[in-house]
Amino acid sequence: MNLSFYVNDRPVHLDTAPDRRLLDILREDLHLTGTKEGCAEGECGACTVLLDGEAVHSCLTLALHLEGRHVTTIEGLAASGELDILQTAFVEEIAIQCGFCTTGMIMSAKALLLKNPDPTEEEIRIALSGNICRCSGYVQIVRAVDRAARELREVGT
Amino acid sequence: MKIVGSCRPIHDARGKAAGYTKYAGDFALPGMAYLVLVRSTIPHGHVKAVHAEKALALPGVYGVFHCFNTPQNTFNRYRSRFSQELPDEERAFTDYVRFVGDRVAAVAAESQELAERAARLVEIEYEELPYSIGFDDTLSGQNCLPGESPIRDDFTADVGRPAGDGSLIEVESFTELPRLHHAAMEPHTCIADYDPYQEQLTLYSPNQAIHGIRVVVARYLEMPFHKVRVIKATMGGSFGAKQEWLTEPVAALVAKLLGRPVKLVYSRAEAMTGAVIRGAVRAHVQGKFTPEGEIASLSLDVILDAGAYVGNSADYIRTLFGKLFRCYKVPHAHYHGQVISSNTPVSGAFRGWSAPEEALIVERHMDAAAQALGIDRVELRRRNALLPGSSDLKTGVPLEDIRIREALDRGQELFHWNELCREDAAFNASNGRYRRGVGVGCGGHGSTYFPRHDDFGEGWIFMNEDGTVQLKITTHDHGCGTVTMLKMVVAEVLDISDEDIYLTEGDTANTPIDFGCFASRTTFVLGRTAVETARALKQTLLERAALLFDQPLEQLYVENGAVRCQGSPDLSWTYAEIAGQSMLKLKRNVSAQAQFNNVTNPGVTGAHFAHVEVDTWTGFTKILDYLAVQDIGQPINPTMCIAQIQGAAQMGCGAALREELVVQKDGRCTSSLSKYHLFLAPDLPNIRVELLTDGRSSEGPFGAKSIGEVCYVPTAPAVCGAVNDALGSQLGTLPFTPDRILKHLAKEGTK
Amino acid sequence: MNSLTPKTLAEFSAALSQATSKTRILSGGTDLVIQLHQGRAEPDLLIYPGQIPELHKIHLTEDALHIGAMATMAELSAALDPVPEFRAIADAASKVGSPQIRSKATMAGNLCNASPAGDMLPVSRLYDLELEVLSGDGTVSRLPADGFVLGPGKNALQSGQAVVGLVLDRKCWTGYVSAFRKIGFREYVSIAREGMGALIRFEPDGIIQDARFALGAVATSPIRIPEAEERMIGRKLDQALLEEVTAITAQTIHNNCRPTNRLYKTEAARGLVADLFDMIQERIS
Repeated sequence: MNLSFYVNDRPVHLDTAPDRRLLDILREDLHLTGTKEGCAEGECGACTVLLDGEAVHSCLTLALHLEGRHVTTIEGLAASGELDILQTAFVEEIAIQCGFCTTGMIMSAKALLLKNPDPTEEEIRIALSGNICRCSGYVQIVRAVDRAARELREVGT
Repeated sequence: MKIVGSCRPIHDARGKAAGYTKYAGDFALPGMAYLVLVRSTIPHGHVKAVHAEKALALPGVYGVFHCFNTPQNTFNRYRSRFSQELPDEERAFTDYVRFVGDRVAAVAAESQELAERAARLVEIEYEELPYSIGFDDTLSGQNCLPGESPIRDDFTADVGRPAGDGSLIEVESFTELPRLHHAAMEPHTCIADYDPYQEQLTLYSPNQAIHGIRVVVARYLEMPFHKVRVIKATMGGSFGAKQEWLTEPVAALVAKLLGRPVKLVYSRAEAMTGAVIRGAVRAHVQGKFTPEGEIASLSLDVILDAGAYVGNSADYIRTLFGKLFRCYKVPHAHYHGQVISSNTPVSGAFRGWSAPEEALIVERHMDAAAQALGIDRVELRRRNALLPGSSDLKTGVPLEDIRIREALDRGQELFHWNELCREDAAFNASNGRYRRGVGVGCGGHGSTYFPRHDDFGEGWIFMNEDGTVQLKITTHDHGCGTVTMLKMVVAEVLDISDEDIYLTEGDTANTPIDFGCFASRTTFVLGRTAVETARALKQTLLERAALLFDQPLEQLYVENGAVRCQGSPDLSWTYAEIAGQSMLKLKRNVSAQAQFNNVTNPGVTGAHFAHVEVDTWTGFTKILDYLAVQDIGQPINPTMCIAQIQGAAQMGCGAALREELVVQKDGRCTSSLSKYHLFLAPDLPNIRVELLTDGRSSEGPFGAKSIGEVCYVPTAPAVCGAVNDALGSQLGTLPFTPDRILKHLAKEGTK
Repeated sequence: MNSLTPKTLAEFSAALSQATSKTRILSGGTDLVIQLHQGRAEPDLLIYPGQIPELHKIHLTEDALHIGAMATMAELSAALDPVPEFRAIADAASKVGSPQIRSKATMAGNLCNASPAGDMLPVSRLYDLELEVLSGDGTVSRLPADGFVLGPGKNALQSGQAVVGLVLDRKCWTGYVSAFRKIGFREYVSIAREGMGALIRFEPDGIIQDARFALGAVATSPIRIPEAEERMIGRKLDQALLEEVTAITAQTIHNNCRPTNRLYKTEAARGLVADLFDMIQERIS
């Protein structure tokens, strides 16, 4: 099928199988390898991206789902070489260890903050409930999201 | 100290946050084949035939490899050094399968998706054999071939002398531990590239021992070591899952046979069942205690299920015994360990390497003893805690400044143990549905192989013309910050910024031979090696400066990236000046090398505390509070240490309450995260950590000990102890799932 | 594999007229995509109706609630949480999987997937909703929720049919309070082990006028608990009633549940019913 959609605000045109997973389109066709594959069944969250601003598993999203829609990946958060407020918070709050869950975790946090700029700790934890981190106890991750929420409110974004 | 003890994010944090940092799975080489394994669907039997025609008929499939069309060469997945006496028995593709998931064949194709589809078309004919999946059926000999014994290894040991008879109280406890999945988020991955002209093989994988892989693969493929290059990729977690060689020999073989680069990425199901797991353990402990609660003697009977292959299990069952002497004063221990081999996933390395199992077994026993003796559980442990200056009774090695007693004291205070005990008793008395309890878990570990193997490290260091530094030391960062740690200690010695140091991870073409990153040796041995390497460079700088600028060597010292002279405050030469002048005038680079061989293994311990609330109407256990007190010596990068400890607590909560790989009657094992329930963000409180830093080591860098494994050892015991306290029970079969808890309560209710 | 992406209902029925027994409808994909990836489903044709705007709508009037087949769990939860009589649907939807799953999974898809543990099955039985079914000839028929699930993974649709909406009467539930509670393996992100919905009408003095319960994940399809429902009538929501309903529910679970999990599910009924009653109690005030 011919697919036209947007990735990080840029138009993408592909001739692809209708059941090709968004995860494979991103990683193999578009060479955007920041989105990871951890389980292929929507359990680990490492493949999380935004689809029209909502967090979804790219391993469960097919080409058929994408026509005309906007996908945001980790690569779309900041220009090359830069980090946005949320990414910086993850770095500085020591919320990153092995890093394999990081991009998915950041995208879920991003989806939360787009909808809810002043989340409680419980709301943050529930928003991240679909992202498994095996290295940490989630403490710094939650702190990073909370800090980013605060800084974004201050900036007025 | 300027740098050691301060806080840094992990060295590649920015790249990881950006999604830029590449893991092995993110790479592709031109012409690369994707390899997908075909695994046994039966638990025990012989492969009679492999029918690959349907798979080969698909366009884009490059080949199907199996036992009948590949060499008979064998290897041992557990080998990490050239000298280990281990049988090389494993083939890439076996004709005799011993578990559901055993490697039978592999399909190489032009895309992952095609390889998966083709793999489903490969048909295997088996001749099935009787099989067993648990302790009892295996012990009965159900899966034994003629001449085989159900007991694959039997080990007995006695250490010490029973403390004086007097009146001793006997205590008995049972523990049964399930199979566990490491659940590193990144699945096992390997890219293999064989250059047939140079006859050079390059392997790229997340792993814990590049030189171990090199030994195994070079021997397996009958190649000289210098022709096998192994590069450690950025690793998305391991916890021991990536320190045995599963993907590398297979990918290497196929790359060589196929004449194309090969990429092998395990699915989550394969990572769960077809890699390594933590094997199931059954233990029976009989202890004798003085009326005051001091251990007089412990007798342990432990059975480990190695799963389909014995792998590391012979070493593992012996190592478990050794852990007994790293936390408590045990004047006498009798140990009987046995290994059985059921037709189930293979037991291998898991964080703590038998120490967590030992702690679960012993801590269960200590709680039983506390109950029998009427002594508070923290107090009982305090009375048995090894004191600074003690030695490991089994090896004789000094434990040095071991601070488990202080950890218990500190934890009892910070956790408000006494108050919580009283409050929980009142809460439970007045509450119908919920029960609260507190638990304490103690455990120790080591910081090196020593004395089981002599341990050493090697480092090379080069100063660039501009004063920046390049360090070569073989490290395998698990995502735990060891690259950062090494830079920090070197920076501390040279008094420069750690940002002026370049260090990449292990690459057999570029970094010295090393045993690998396990046994918690990285900070203690390699960190100290880095210190010695930096000291050697510092010495070289001073000597060159003395020569170049005609100064007395003994007056020279380093400060802020420059060499200075005592008594002449206006004299100062930057490292860049010295390096440049050395090249031009002395015709020598400024570089150095060091090897460090440790002869100590200090005690490193932790005391963890958990407060739980059990819902007796659903069986769910909530973690109300958790405190980890770690006897860590000098933390090089404290915030990374804290993050690691909290991660260990998360794993321990899972092990105590939820995690269990279940093998069905047909031999199939849990293979989905939807059925293996990890702890998620909303399931945990803010895990508190207290670092005790005064108990330094004599040999570690700046007095550091270790953290990566020891912090996991006390976790599950603390949570299990808390649940038993809440319910007034003596549960010993993990995990304490809602099912087990309600089953226990139902039984209690009928009494 | 072929695919069709109809943009209108007319195009959808045209697409359905081409369907064979191996044709699958893709909605959120959270179940189907796993099956496709693992080779457990090999459709000849995939029809994706997600480009039809009406199918995404949740339409609430005085008389009825109409849930489009493509409305997501997240959308359902947000729309129905403020509506007391339909709040049970919001409760159930808000606990399906994880946030990422809830962004895509649909209630229609969940019903059609017909897993015995399907999170939305009990509430569909609770309200006796009807499924709007589009056929290849353009006709729209209705199927009751009761009897829609024929067995694990099997629903009552013929090949060439697809669910386009779910219809619930609203008028008849005016003044009702509702709630749904599930027990999984953990509090968040879990398959349901048992789930119970309640739909109760109270008189101003707190006396129960009408009550319905639906129990899920215990049998292959959700069941009502008539004995418990009858016991509720004319009573107040008090401790004694809770204990009676708990005992009946536990017995019902025991009678319907397969042996493997029977002990747990029966024992856990106590917590399930107590929590459900707590939710109702909170919502009366």
